[in-house]
Amino acid sequence: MWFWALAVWFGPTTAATTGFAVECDGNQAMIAYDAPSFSSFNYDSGAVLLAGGGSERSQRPDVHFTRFAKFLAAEGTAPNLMYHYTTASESSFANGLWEGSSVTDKLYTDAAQASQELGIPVSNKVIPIQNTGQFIPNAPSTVQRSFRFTGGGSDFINPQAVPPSQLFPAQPIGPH
Amino acid sequence: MNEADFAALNEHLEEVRPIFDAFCARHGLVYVNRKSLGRYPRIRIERPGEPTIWFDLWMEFNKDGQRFEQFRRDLPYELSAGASLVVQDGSKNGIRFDKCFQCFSGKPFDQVGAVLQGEMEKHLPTLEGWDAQYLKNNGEKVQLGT
Repeated sequence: MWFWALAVWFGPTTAATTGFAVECDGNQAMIAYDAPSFSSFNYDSGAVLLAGGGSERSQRPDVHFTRFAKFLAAEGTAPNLMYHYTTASESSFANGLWEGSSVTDKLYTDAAQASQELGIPVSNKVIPIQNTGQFIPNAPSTVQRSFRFTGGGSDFINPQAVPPSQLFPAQPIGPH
Repeated sequence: MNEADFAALNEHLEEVRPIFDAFCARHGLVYVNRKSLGRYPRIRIERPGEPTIWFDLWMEFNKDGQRFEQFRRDLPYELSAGASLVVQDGSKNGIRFDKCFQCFSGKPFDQVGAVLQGEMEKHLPTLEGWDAQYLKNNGEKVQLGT
């Protein structure tokens, strides 16, 4: 399962966390691997993880990405992540995740599917969040049906705000 | 948008809440946990059972499929209604059979209060006529969770 996720994020030829390189050019981070490189995430000047305050503010995207990679490596085959899907600007998460936000435990690669199952507008990014037990199942624990959305996705909520240090760089997603 | 913006965006729903209160009291429905509905303006009521029947009023999205960020009284609202039946099939969360329909859509909020009660009263008997077997035969099957 997680190798699939790595393949989605880091490219089909790179399953190991050491198999990619990160270059920073201004505000844009490029992830390169054996296949042609692609832009994985972009930071505006108020980037989510760079504007978190304190020591976070001084870190560059590659630092965060390295931290993310190390985290994945340390987690082995089953990283404990939750996911927040959004269209909000990354700067909206500079202070972390608001109390009472909805997250799910599934990494979707199709924004349209995520929209249907989570009952939200079609997202353009997903924010991985380190799961430290700060999320509890919502009540109900799966998204309910509405006329517009099928629902059915797992729904978790954070009773307390999540600090920015537990958020990883946003990853772009789009409809297939 | 910040949390205060979302709170402001939801304020107008207080105008129709008495209609839901009265309908719930009359027919034994209850409000669904607001935290399960997101921050966007929405009210959902249900009568738990087998099946659970529900009504769902929400502010629709804009033409681009995204959320409106500032309230106007002409913003479109949709009322939908349906029934859901969860069946345990050995998977973690089970499967759900859903059937639903629109009562109205694209209705400016200004006009919602005038028709809300009548629409719910009109469609409640339809929902009450759907039993578990009907949903299994005619509902959409959704695998719950991951």
